[in-house]
Amino acid sequence: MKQSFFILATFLLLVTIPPHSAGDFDSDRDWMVKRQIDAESITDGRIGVKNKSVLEAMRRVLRHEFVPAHLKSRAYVDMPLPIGYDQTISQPYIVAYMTELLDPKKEHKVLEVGTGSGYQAAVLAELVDHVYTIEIIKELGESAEKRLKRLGYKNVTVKIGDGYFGWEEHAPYDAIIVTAAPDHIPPMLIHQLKPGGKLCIPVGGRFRVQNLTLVQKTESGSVMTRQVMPVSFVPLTGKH
Amino acid sequence: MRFYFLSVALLAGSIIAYEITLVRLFSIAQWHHFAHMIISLALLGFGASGTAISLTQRWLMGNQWKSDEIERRFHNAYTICGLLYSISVVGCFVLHQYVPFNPLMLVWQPSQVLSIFVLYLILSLPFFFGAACIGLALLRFAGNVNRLYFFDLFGSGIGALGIIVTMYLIPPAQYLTLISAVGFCAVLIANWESWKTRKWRRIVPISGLAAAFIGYLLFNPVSIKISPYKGLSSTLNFPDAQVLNERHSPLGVLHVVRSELIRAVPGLSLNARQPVQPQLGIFTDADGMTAITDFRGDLSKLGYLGDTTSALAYHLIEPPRVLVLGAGGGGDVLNALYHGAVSVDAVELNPQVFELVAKEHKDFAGDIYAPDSPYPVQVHVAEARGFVRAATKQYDLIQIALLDSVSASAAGTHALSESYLYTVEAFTDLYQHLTPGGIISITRWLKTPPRDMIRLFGTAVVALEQSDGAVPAQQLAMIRGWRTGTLLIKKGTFNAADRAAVQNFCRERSFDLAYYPQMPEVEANRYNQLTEPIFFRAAQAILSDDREQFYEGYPFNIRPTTDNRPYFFQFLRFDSLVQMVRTVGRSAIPFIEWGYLLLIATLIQAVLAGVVLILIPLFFLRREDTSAITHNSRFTNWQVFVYFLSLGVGFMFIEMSFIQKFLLLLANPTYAVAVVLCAFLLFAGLGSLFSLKLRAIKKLRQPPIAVAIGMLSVIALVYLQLLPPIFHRFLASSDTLKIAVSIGLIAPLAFFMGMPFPLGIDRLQRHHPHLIAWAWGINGYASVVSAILATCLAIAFGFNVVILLAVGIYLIGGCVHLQMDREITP
Repeated sequence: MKQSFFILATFLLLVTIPPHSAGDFDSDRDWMVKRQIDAESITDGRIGVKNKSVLEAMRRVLRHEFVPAHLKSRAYVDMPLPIGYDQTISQPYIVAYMTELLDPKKEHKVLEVGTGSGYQAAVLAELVDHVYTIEIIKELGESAEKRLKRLGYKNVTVKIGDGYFGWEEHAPYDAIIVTAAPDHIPPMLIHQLKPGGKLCIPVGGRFRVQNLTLVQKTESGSVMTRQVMPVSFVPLTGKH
Repeated sequence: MRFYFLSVALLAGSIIAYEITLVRLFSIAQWHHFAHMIISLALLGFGASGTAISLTQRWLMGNQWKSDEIERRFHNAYTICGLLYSISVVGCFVLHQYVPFNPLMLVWQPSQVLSIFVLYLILSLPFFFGAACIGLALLRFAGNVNRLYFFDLFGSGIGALGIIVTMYLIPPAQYLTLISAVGFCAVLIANWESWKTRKWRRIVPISGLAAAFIGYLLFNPVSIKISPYKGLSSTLNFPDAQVLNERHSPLGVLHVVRSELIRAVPGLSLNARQPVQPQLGIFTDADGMTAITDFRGDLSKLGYLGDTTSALAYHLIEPPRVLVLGAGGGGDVLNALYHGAVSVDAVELNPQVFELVAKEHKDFAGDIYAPDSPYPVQVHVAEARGFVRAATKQYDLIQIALLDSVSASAAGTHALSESYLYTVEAFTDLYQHLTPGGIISITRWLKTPPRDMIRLFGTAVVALEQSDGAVPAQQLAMIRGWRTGTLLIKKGTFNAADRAAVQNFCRERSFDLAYYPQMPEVEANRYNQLTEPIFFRAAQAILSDDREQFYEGYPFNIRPTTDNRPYFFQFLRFDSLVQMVRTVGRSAIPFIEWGYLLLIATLIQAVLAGVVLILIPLFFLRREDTSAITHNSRFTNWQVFVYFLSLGVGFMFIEMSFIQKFLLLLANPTYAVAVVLCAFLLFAGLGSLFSLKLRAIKKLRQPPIAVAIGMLSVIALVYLQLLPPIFHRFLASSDTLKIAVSIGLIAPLAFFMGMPFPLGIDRLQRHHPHLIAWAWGINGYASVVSAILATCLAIAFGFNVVILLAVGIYLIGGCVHLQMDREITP
């Protein structure tokens, strides 16, 4: 078979590495937004992100601060990276795309279930009034909290706990983002969503296809979902 | 000599046990398709052993040596290979776990490709050394090939049966210890003469090594590293996660995990309000979780179960008599009880799952499976399809539970697995066990673009079309939530009240209507919105005259599945794939299910590696052929090649196809495989033993090879027609009778299949002995490639075609053998 997996994989591997030095993170970040995310300049056929403020937030957040030291050189490659405890930091494209789906506004209060490295929370913190984020793995949550503080994010509150029940204390939320869905969306999360609010959930395993699903609570309180197209995990080419 | 034969039997048993064990251990540790590819390629060690012996046979058995020297060299080579085999079965498995291979990272890291080849190499070593012993014995005792091959096959048969029985008795970590111990025993038996002559310098080191190695492993068993991306690993990351129980059997390793964070309710509505009850997770092979729900008798706490797509059927029928297929931890059983079922027959394949729920977690699970259960629940340990076919009862509702995990489903992990529960014939069986007005309810995960549910719908339509008096368009309903879809097949038409009930059920839970009789398109795709109402339109197309056109135009293979091609989870279409890649480039990758593609990749690699392994010795042999060997025949290397290749391919094609066919009769996949495989090998062994005696039968007017291949071809072709009615006749019989019938049917076929190989080796031994090792390699290589090829062909054309091909291939082999016979000058 001509389109053998190995040829494809080898091709993709060759085109994965960005044409920038690992230390030049500012230009790496610009390159990441321009080539991997921005609807105006993305060239691999994916639906790019149009929301200017989201693109700006992606440019501002120092992704390399959220990945393990030995992976910093790949921080701006469009791929998920392991962050320990068998967890990953999502690929930048998915972070940006999910953020855009939530339609974040300055006055919004957002709940994130699954803090991980804190990267998604940081991107949201650039855009909204306050981000409440819950992480079940204590070590991850604590390191994310320290990292966010160190980077100056004062509008993010981290809690170690079970995100299944949401965070009633600060509910209702304008938007909720869930980073993993086993087989159902916790009813409490829907309950804690404001009428007109949005919940975004990437469905699918880490390191593979992620079907983005957007749940919307109408003003009347009824719930609707929209299957956004599956998101490719494939890295971008270095030459366009 | 007889000690060598016994040693060969032990080694053959150990090798097949190692192969089965490797599949099992990979199932526990990994879930990816690469496991299948790696094991298949590692098996090429068989063919490589033939190549190696071919290249070294002049040194080992050259004409210039005295018989004592030949004996000494053979004996040493056999012993060393045997010892290396015994050590490498454990050593190589341990070593392979240190190779940094993460298939999920293959797209991003070039070094992963290199890792795959390192894995091939490491895991092929045990097969190489083990098969080398048998190949050496074949070379040394070619004059007694019929007996040697009998011991080889006999040992394999017992080994296959033995390891499956053993899997009930010892934990997975000790499988390799046992296999290694059998290998050491084989070496010690081969050295029996040394025992008798008290050659302690030889015996003591071998025994000492064996005792030390096995002794160490008994106290320090091999650890199995489970992939961090499997469900069990992720769950154990939860702070309060705790493994409560562990069970093992050939059906899988079960872990019961307790954590406050475990909650599994597939298909729960987004409108659900009631909190999910605490649960325990039962993981099979570290994945595929089924939940045991905390149920202390208060059914009102299970209200959320009524908000799943699979609850729809309960809104259409009176308190029903329910059959739950794939009962697992009891979620669907509780759903039935919550909805007031008057009786529930819960069918589960793995008895250990029932045992865990009924005994270990009796209080937590609320006695639902206990023998003295206060609820109308009866448990049945059985394979779902087999249970239904043998059942005499009829049911108001048959629920097929969501048996596979969502991650496995999304990844296409099951693409190569047969499923006899989602075929036209299965639906017909289920339908016949419904009471008038009864309903079959099938729930599955949804995929984007849709596949499973549409294939289910099409399969149900064909099954209904084949049932007397059925009107498919009036008897089907399909709904979907945001993650799951449910199909209902009713024995009777959905009337106006039913339709209203379906509409209400969906509206209250924000589920979408996909199909019901006379449904207008405007009602579709309301709550969980797709770009277009794909499910509704697919259902309409399948029910219309444009069905073929629809299947042809759909980017995935969603045609109905049948018992002959039971690959429900194989959706890939090569033409669409190529077109998709051309059209959208790399964005097509999310749509690709890798299972089938990797099978093709495995086949290509195996063929390439095999060609190299076969051609290398041919290059050297050509030089030797005319110089060192004098012979009185003119048959060519290519005739030898075609003959032994056809035997390897033919044998494997028939064996694999009939294992699948007997699965339908024996139902339980574990003992079906064990019984059928064991019977095939044992009777083929007997055939081998008898093969050379055919020549002595004077009344036989045909050459022995013509008799053997003629008989096996006739039997295989007759079975194609005869097996379905025979199976039907014995479906409801006891397991013992079904096993006896299976063995009785396999015996004559396998008996004749065991003859061609020794007849061919015997021919070589008398005219071209230098080609024996090469022939052994070809046969080994052919067995590996044909196992992969048989799966490819069965997916594409069905098992009947594979059997027909096997007969054709055997006939070609027979013709080549007859041609060789004619070319022998007296």
